[in-house]
Amino acid sequence: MATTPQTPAYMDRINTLRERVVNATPTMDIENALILTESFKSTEALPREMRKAKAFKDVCRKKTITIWDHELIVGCSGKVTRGGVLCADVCWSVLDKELDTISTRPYDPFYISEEDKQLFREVIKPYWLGRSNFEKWEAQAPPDIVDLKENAVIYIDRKAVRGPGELTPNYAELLSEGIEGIIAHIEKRKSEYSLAKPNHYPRIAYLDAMRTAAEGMLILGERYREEALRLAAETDDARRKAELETIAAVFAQIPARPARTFHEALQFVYLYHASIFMEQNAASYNLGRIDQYLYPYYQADIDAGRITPEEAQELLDCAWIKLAEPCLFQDEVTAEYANGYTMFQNVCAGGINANGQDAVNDLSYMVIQASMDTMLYQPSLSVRYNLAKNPDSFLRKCAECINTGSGFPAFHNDEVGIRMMQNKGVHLHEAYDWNPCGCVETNLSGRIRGYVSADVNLASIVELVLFRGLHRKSGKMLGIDTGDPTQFTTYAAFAEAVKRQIDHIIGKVVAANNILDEIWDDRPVPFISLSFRNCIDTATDYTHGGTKYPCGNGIIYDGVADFINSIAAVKELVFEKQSLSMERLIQALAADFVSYEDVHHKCLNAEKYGNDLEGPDQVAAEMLSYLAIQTNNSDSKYGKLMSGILPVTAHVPLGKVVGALPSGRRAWTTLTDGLSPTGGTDVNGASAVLKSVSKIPHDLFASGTLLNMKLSPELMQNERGVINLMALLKSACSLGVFHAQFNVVDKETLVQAQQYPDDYKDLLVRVAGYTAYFIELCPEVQDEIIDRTVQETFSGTIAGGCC
Amino acid sequence: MQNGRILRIEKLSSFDGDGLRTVVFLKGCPLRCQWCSTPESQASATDFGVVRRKCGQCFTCVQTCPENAIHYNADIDRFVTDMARCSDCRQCVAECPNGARTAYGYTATVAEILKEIAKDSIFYYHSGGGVTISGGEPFVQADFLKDLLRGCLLQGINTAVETCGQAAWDHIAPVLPYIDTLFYDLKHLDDDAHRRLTGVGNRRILENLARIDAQQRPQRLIVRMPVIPGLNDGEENLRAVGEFCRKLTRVAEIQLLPYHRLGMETYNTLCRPYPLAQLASGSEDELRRKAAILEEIGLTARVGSF
Repeated sequence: MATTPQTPAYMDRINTLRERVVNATPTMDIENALILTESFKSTEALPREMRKAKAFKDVCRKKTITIWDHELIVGCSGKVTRGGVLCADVCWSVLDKELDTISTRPYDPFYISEEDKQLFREVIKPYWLGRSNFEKWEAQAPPDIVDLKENAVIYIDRKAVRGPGELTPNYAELLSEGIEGIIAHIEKRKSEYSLAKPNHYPRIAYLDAMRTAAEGMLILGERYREEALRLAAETDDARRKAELETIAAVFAQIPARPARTFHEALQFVYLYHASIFMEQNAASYNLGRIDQYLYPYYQADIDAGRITPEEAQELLDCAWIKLAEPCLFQDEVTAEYANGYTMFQNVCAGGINANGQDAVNDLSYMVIQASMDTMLYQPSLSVRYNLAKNPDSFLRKCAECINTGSGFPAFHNDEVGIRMMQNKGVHLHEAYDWNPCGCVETNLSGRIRGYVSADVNLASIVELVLFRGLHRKSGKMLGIDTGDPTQFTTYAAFAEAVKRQIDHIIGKVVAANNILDEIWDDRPVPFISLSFRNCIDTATDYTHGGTKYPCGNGIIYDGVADFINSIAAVKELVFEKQSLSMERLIQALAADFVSYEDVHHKCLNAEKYGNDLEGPDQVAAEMLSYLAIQTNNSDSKYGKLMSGILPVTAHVPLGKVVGALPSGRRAWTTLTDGLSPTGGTDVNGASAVLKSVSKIPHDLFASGTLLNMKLSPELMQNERGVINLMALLKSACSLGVFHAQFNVVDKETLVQAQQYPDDYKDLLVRVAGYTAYFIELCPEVQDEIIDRTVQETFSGTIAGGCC
Repeated sequence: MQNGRILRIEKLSSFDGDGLRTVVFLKGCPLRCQWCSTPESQASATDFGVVRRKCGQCFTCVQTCPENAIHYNADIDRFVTDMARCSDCRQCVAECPNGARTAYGYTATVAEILKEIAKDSIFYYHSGGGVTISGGEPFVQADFLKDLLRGCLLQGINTAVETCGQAAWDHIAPVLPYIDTLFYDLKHLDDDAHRRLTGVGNRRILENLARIDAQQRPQRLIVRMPVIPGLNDGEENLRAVGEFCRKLTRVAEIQLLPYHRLGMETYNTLCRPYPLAQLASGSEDELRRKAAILEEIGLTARVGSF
């Protein structure tokens, strides 16, 4: 299916809906928290799971529901359009600390009314004080872990201040069974247990909790049906009346019974998705392979003449606008690590089917078109591109979307994704069904548990080796003494010290993760567990390892380029060329290169990662393989730990605690994001970047790897630009690179946007695995995007043509 | 194996042949075109340049040079290198604290350049690209060129060469079997005008083109004409170029390349005057009209990218 040449009629509605979202102010939404608090006060004596389920059901019963004008797909997790939903049972204290500053903080500010502040102080805080999950972590974290996290050698609070997220419900199953079908399944399982037997009571109680949560959703669906009918009766607009009556008819079928049409299926998916946030606010609740599970409904409608492709596109676009509404609420510090409000709601197109064959269908193109129509920062559009199986026309559609400058889709190499899933213990035939999750994580709908729990600052590790365990910023011994670097006579000895320091830090993270796993067991999610069949079958919550495939948490490594370039510089200058002594290097680093300009010059001129050079690329392969393997050798109660390279925006705060490095980076400055080469050091163009990046064993980083590249939009304008991009994407796949993200935005536009933010409200950029409004990012991140080397040579001017 | 004089290697070029290509610029050219956009490619020897806006006038280069080849010329406010004394050790470049000093050109073996070309083979494969040898004038280093192209051919890498045509036939003929696409420049059909604009007459260039036209290889022959406003873009010259090509049998198309001033920065760095400093670039429409004239004659004409 080609891009529609003229603006289709449905775009009037889409643009109207879009305007409402773009112009809405992110607002703290505490209505759900108030209902939850009231509910919890009345359920003190019940099991935790049932308390959560009852609270969820109360939210479904009492929350404000709104059908906004022009909407065809309806629903909302909270009360307001761009709401940050507070999840008081997980963490209330962060809002308490920031109640008077959250509306003006630099990263992701949220408006909150004086009335809501008062309700928070008088109702929410007094009840939850001492009871939230985050407080348990704060109370139980051992001092050595606290030291490491306070000094940003590791960052581990991210999933403690909100739910873990990073999961994908089994929508195919929900759509074909309906909530009533799910309840029937719960009852069937329940009938297999007996209170007369020991240990069966918790199972029965849990299944009752699941049923209670499921009933909540039935109530919510019925309320939307009634609201649609009410509005239909009120309106004088015949067209809108008909639309509202259709919405009511949709809710007469779903969520209770199986979906029959495309409209019913899409509405069901959105309603369930929005409801998840009501149970637990978190990032990365994914819609997964929407082009696959919606296709049977689309095809049936088309075959029966019930819908046209344009009408289906309009519905998809409406759902896309809804997905752009929610804003991730998190504390100020976490917001600095991942800013831009994004909820990481990942939708996926493409890939292969259960037989291992091409899965691309008409909807795959329409899913991409929906992002091109709406041009919003959410949902996170991903493609699984299978080089061998998917058609060039699909790749072209991807390239055309990239060329719009939206930063979408996040392009995933299907074969590598499949291998990553296998590394998580998933059987090959099920790994065929993987889906991207969050920014670049890997997931499997309705079958797997596991999420990223910690970040490790690789730049700190270099520092700890060179200063014998001393953390310069804090003056504390945060590492171990791996020997006097000036006594190392070979690179191998230096590399060994780096590895011992890595082992030490990984050991600390493993310990912290074990404590967190226990604490996090106390935040069950019976509603989410409805869409994980094995949770029903085993009467075990998602959180407690009820999924078919349990999996250990993921550890994210940040500052990759800084780490590689620093080790490579030591290798080249100190050991190979011997143009600089270790002693003098360390002196220069301690002085932040002040009065050591010659050393700084040498460090900056040492070979850098990102240029397809053997020196640094060998360091990359050696050290990153070691990291991935050591992580994957570590155990947790839910399985082996995973590793990933997806910093979101963590490289900004993590840089603030790291002194000068042998890479030539000055003290306390931003680190490099993801797998990207450090801005300004990748001087050999896009192919060299991809070659260097491919030296890292992507498959081993089963939590995903992230590569950001920026392409000048003016160089992508003609037909050849898109074809070149297709070739580049295919090449990246052949090289085994997992993910690549292209910003097609020129520098001038970004500089203008920084100066006149009001004129660039719509400007989207790819930050680090996600897309955000440029003007909403912090200045450091903005600067970094501006500074990143533009790949001018990609489709440049005629070279040497005139001589 | 031959050694060659290389200016630089550019990757993922999209305008010097099909697909995504690696362009190897060789050093040394017999022509001195007034509009040359890569003046640093003209001499076979190394050129040293100073990026003026980066130069901190710290005299590190003067002090570093073991041959005392660099001195400061106050009259022009520039650091000047006496190439007669320079041993090409490049310590001045390595030590320059601001990265202002640049050396243009290096010597490399065929194997070294082949290794660099082969690095991007996956990109050639997916784009239908390959390698393009440009210059300078590639046929100046005919033996090196032949070995390099043969090495590419053995690895299945598509080859293209860009030439000004000013070379001895003995240098050209042995290389032709290894060239897939030959881009052949015709600047002016009038011998005197050609000499005035490029420093050499066009007799040998036209002869060579006619002789290449009679060979089996290269597989594809494309004539290129840089269109320099006011210097060679008159209709008379355009028609003469067209007529010359029409009489040949194997010219697949004529490409009209737009004039640009992107080389200006390098002239300044090299401390050389840019002859056409006042000349503005032509318009794309203008170039399309000229292409239409060639099409009238019965040729396939294309306008190069702006």
